[in-house]
Amino acid sequence: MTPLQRGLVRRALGLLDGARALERLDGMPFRDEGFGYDRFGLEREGFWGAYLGARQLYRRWFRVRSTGHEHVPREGRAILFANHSGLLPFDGAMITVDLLERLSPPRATRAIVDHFAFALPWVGLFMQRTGQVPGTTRNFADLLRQDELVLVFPEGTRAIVKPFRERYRLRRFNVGFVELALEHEAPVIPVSVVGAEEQAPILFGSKALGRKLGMPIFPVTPTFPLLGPLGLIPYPSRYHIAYGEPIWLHREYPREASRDPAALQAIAERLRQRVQDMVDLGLRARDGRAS
Amino acid sequence: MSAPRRGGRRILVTAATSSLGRGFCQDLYADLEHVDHVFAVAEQEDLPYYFRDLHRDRFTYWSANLLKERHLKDLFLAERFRAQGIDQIVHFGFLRTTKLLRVPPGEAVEGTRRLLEFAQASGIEHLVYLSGCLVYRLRPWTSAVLDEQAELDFDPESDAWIRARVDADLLCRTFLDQDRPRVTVVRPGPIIGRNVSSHLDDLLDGYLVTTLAGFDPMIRPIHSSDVLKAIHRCVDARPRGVFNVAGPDVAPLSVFARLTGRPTVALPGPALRPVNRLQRLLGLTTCDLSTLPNWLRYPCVLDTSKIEEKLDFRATHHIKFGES
Repeated sequence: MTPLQRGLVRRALGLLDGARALERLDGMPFRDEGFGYDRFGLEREGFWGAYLGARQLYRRWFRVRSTGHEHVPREGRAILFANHSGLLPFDGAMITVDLLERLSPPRATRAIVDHFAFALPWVGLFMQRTGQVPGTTRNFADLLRQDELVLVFPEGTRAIVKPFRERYRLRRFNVGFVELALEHEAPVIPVSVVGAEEQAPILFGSKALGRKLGMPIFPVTPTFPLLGPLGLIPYPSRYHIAYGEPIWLHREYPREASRDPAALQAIAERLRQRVQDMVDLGLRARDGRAS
Repeated sequence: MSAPRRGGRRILVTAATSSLGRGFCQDLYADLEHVDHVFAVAEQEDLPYYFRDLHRDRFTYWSANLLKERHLKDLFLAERFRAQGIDQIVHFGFLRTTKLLRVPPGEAVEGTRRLLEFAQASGIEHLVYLSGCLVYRLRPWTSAVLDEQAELDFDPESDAWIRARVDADLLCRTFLDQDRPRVTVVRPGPIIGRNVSSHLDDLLDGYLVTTLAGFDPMIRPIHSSDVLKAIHRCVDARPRGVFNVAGPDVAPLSVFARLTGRPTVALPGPALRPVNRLQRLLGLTTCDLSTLPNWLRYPCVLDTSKIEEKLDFRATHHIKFGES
């Protein structure tokens, strides 16, 4: 963006809603490489714009409730790991907005995203400008070295395309984030998201058609593809986000564990169970059953 | 001119009439303290005007096409060459992106191979090879920052010139475990500078800068003067290995396009190639975008921590246009 465009965007965003919200974000740490971008492509104005848009969804559409913010560190490296669901990754956006709204000072999360999104024109560009990063070991490690707050969904894309009948049953976790947490001595913080499964109930999906379109599967929901692109609009289910206590893996396991596939798998399974427990607890609380 | 101190370096520079080669020869010549003799080799037959003032005691210009084995033999067997006791070579192998297209890519790789073998046979102590960031393979899952271990572009569908650059880079790397010559491979980011003719320079030099709609990759260009300083540092330190070098500015391609002050238009993929071909036909650009599809899509930010740590080198020249 030119400086003039930047100024206009700031004015427009301020008028739209969030003059006060943007004032809060002004103090947010940002590693400017000299032209208003960080080395991963995050642009402050792009991030603000996305934040103000997502904030409307956060407040009015998904009406997010959240607990446990005290467990999220205000500074220093940390990894948030959460269950993933809902076809389109609104859960990541809602966690990001939640931490910007509820933490003081606000802290941006850097979500690790599957590669395929970055090959899509405009989609990849939007992701870069709003601070999301392609999921490579080097990118992840660089973010931790920069003491960023990294958000991962260790189930991967297979979680967001699972059928509705398997909702809230977590898939196997990838182990990469465990390895990096051990190597970089970063705390891992479990996060449960309840409500995202209902935003886009997948009845079934076609892998063959999905492959042809460059997607993991081609999903069929009650409204998609029946209503065309409009059918992808998520249903307004209320989100409940909970942050668990940080786990300092490097205090519990030797550093060598990061090079032992079996140990990594065992730790990942333990962490998966932790999130699964939090999700079950959240479901019971939401549905009015005793916890 | 003061008398040169003997016992300093004696350096052969290939592609000496290119923008970088010419600047490097002049830098070396000016370094009275450390450089005894500069042996400039280029294809041009007559001594270029910008070398005419250089004293013959410290400077030799030799006309040769290093892609021809006969010329290479003549050079290494020449009395003048042997008398100077050349101990270092700086090889500006694949500087230009389009003008060299007259030569088959395989021949240029072969020329680099023969130069390495002649250098070894002649007892040359150190060889610096200028490679480039185009050797890296860029994909959606390429890391935001590329270190020297990043994947090289072995894609058979890549342009023949890109593959030739990768081949030449690998050839030099095969000499990394040899005692002689010690080989240093320097991989600069996209170079910007007067008449440099790198892929980025060619792109930004067009009357209309065309990019790909929906993509705006982060890049880390380097000014030609910083490339010369980095090579100079390598000539001084004689390290063995591969080193990335890039400038201090990291930004999307569109930012650098805007800095040129030229009109910029982002075109959808199917329209980009025909428009670029038309631009080249009309002489409005020298940049062939059909050879650089991924470079317009995915980020190419080089990690320079290795050269910073081992050689204490940091590029300092910020990118500005409209200045010399």
